[in-house]
Parts: sequence; C-alpha cells; structure tokens
Amino acid sequence: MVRFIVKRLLALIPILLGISFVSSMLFYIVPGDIVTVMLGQHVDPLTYANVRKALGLDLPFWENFIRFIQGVFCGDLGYSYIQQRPVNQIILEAVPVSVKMGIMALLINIIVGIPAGILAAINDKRISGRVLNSSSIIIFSFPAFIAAMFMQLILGVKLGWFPVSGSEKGMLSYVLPGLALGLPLSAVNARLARASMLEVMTQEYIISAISRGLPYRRVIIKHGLRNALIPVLTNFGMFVGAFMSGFVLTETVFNLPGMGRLVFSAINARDFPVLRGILFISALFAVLTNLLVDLIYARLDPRIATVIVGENTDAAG
Amino acid sequence: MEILKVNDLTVYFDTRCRPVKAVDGISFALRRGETLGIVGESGSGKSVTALTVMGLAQSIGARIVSGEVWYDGKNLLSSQDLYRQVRGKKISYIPQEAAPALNPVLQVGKQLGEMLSVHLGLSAGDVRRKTAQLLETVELPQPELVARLYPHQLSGGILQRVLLAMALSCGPDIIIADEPASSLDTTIQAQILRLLGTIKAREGLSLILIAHDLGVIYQNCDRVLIMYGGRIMEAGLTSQILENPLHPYTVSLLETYRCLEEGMKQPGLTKSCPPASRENIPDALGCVFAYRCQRAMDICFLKKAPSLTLDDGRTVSCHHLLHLRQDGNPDARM
Repeated sequence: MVRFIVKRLLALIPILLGISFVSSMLFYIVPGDIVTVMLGQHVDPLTYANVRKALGLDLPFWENFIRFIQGVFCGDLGYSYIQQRPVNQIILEAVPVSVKMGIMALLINIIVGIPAGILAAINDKRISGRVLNSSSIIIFSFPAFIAAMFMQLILGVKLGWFPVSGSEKGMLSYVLPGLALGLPLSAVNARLARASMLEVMTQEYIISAISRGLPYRRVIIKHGLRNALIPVLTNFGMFVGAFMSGFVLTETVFNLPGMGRLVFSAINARDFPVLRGILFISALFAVLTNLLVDLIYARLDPRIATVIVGENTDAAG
Repeated sequence: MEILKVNDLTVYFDTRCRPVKAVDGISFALRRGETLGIVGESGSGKSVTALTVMGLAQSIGARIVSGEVWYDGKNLLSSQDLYRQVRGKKISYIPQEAAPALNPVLQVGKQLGEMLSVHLGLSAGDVRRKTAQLLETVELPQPELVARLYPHQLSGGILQRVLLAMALSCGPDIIIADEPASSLDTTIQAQILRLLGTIKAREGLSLILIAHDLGVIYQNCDRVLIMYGGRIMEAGLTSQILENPLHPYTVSLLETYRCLEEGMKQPGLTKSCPPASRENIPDALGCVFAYRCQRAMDICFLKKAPSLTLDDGRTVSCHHLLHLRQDGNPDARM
C-alpha cells in the first residue's frame, strides 16, 4: 500500500510540471502584448517596463518557466501585479471557502443521494421507487441557479434559518450553497446508485445469499451495497476533482469568496499569475483526490486491491 | 417416508409475446435419506425446478403459476415467511458455479460465518471455530487460511467445497445440488460428488442432485426424474430406468450418452435441437417431445400424454406405451 501511494505521488511530478508548462505558456501565447492587455493601451513606458520585469517577461520562456518552478519549490506561486499581493496569499484565502462548500455539498450528496438511489432500486416495482426515481430526474433537470434562488428566498429570507449570502456565520453559511450544489449532484448519484444497485441485485451472489436464508435487509446492506457503491465512488472522484474551479455559479449567487469566484475575476482582470497558481493548485488537488478515491476503491473491493494496488490486502502471505 | 413433496409445480417466464413454460406441472417426492436425480438437457427446467423449490422463483424473474412444496407439514410456497425459517437452515442449495455465487468483496470465511451467526446465533468466537471445523469437514487443508481469503484468490474446486461447507453449516435435512462442479474438470467433479456422497451418508441427509451427465446420475442416485420441456418424461428407480428405458426421450438420451462414450458417432434417433431454436416452435398441444420423437404418432401432437404408473413403480408419460398397453401387450418394451 505504501509503495502504491509513493508511486502515485511520484507521478504527480510530471503532471504538475506539465500544467506549469502550459500555464506559463499563457504569458507568451496570449494575442498581443500581455502587459498592454493588463494595463491598457496608454501606459507610461516606465511602468510598462517595470511590470514586464516583474512578470519576468523580459526573460526567454524557458527561464521564466524555470523561475516559476524554482518558486514552487520554495512554496511561492508568484506575485499578482493587479492585486498587489502574493498569489499564495490570494489562493490561501479562497481555498478554505471552496473546501467548506465542497464538503457540505459532498455530505448532502452522501446523505441524500446514496440512500435515495438504494431505496429507489429496492422498491423498483413499487410506487415509492418510481416517485424517488422520477423526483431525482426532476431535481437534476431543474436549473441550479433558480433552485439556489428559491432556497435563498424560502430557507433564508422567509424562515431565516440560514444566512443568504457571505461566509461570516461559520459552517451555517455554507448550508444553502451546499444544498444548491449538492442536491442536483445527489440526484445524479441517486440515479447512478439505483442503476448500479439494480444490476447488483440480479447477480448470482445475491440470489445465493438469499438462498442461504439471510434476511433481506442484510443481503441488501452487506452484500449489495458494497458492490453497488463502486461506480458511485467514481462519480464522487470526478466531482471532487472538479470542484476547485467549477463552482463559479454557486459562489456568485451566494457571494462566497472561493476559488470559483477567484478564477472568474482572474480571467476578467487577465491576472495571469493568479490563474497559473489556481491551475497548479487545482491539478494538485485533482490528483490527490483521485489517489484517495483509488485507496477507497481498494478498501471496498479486494479484487481492485490486488490488481491496482498490486498487493494482497489479506493476511495470506 | 417422504420428506419433501412437490405437487403440480408450474413456473412461467413472462416474455413479450407469450409465457415460456419453464416448468409445466410436475410432481415428485423426495424420500428421507435418498438421492433423487433430475436429469435432462439444457432448458428442460431442472434448475428452475430447483430454484422454485428453494423459493427463489421471484428472484430470477419467474412466475409461479401453480404448485405446492410440502415440507414438515407446511406448504412452503404459501408464504415467504416459511421459507425464511427453512432456507439455508433446513434446506440448502448448492449452485452450479461456485465463483459467481460468492460475494467478491467479502472473505469466504465471513460469508460462511454469517450463516452461522444468523441461523444458529453463535458468538464471534464460536463462529470462527465452527467455520474452521466446517472447512475441515469438506477436506480443505489449512481452513484458517482459506477462511481469510477472498473468492478471487481461490480455485473453483476450493470454492465449490466452500459452498458445500455453507450448505452443511446449519445441519440441513435436504440439500439441493444443481449440477455441482459441472463447470469444473472431471477429476474435481468426481471428488466433489464423492465428498457429497460421504457427507450425505454420514449425516443422513436427503439429496436432490441435478445433472445432465447420466454417468453421474447412475453412480449417485437412488431414483431419477427424466425431464424434458418442463415436464417429467419418466421417473423411477435409477437402475430400472437407465438399464431399461421406456420413454423414447430416455432411450435417445442414453443412446447419445453411449455415442459419447464410444466416440462421436451420429446418434440418429433424435434430431438435435438447442434450447434457443425452440422459441419459434409454438407451445405443444400434445407431448412436448413429439416434434423430435422418431416414434411420434398423430395423437402425440394433439393430446398431452397421461403419466402411467407401471407395475415396477416407475411412471412414464408417453402415448406409445399407453397404446401398446391397450393393445393387450403390457410387457412390450420399446
């Protein structure tokens, strides 16, 4: 297991080098002169030269790239000329906001999505199963920002349970964004969990478990659920990987200063050092999450442990 | 004494155009301590019969049209609750293939121990001891090691033994074995069957053994049912039926078997007919075997053959025999 983790962490190096390379190229391939794009047409030559030097654009591409890599090794992602602050500081402020919102959405996903899917599967032939299944389609097809505004209006303004926007009230302020983000995703997961559970329930080992006289509930939970969770976990992995930069809409509606908003404003302001930092951190995050997902896979399914992790999880040796 | 009695069991699979009659009104009884063989080609309804007797018809998407399964003075098919009390505990089932029948994500010992704790309410320590003991009963070396492994780490023969241990775990009265180990090679199959026979004799169990290998039936079964198209063609003592078959289907089965033994020669008696190609043939009005039977008469296509009990105790359902009898020649053999 340790060897597997080390191997995967070593694989991070080329990935991060690649993403740094591509994002450093941004400075050189953006049409027109990047400093002019940032500062406008009428800028005095001295400032122009200063900014150019500050961005390292007076150097050739390779040196610029190597300078960024050197910076990364010292834990420095660069300096945002527009915000007049180090990129590290800017990103560090945004990450916790997005992470908290992501965790909230993930929790709602797990609490709502998986049980709904399993219940829909085991009641497949009954009314309750059909209601669950069609309501997940409705929730999924409902535009997220409209749902978000309805939630703000009802749960926030009318009932006053949760703050409508901002991040001042601790975890409480993340409930509504979490719901707005998590509910449509949990509808996806409910449908995935349902399909996967329905398939598992036709497997021979389930029929065999029933033939051994095990109670139905036990068959569902001990024999069915664990096998059905594997495709759902894949979806979780993709969700978590995307969430560093994909929350633009939710963060805008709920006025949360997270990564999504940061990406948006950085693109708007053509703040390339910040963009490069975000790309770097997102890639790091995505790879680490997928490593975590793989470890959970191996925990859920011993066959994957043998094949992917390359070692037996049992005490056979 | 009859320990299990099946009356007029009819099981259909509903398809888009018409129901497929997997089991079509069969009745049989299992006597205490005997081994009853069920034999027939693929698609003759052997496995569906076994699964229905286990109360699993719904799980495989079949519909029970009629029938009763009597065990211990109760008709098990009348309520699923009755099944919950006997399944795995009093009547156990050994499926055809071992590997798909075990949950891939749980250690085999856990799956075996689970039955012990659910049915017998044993404590964790007792479960561990009994699990090891059961795995030893099925002649597995290093039972503690096997118990800790997952199904994908074990061979088919070992898994079949684990399933046998599961079937034995709660001291059942009846074991229904659906072609046990027929997916494995002959040596392992023979080992498993011998082991099953030994354990059966020691524990005084009753056994229903499903097979399509007449050799297996001949060596292991006291009585045999010959099934075709969801109906019983011929039933009786194994020695009688296999040494002196009366029904044309039994005759052709034996002929085919001998051909295989002697090397591939064209059997000649029966048209070959794999199960899939039968879908286009409409439901038989008369005998299900008529359209393949070389001796079929007009009446065979029109009227269902009544089952006739002969003096030696066997039942045969064939118009031919009936005709011969009515012609005043009861000893006529086919």
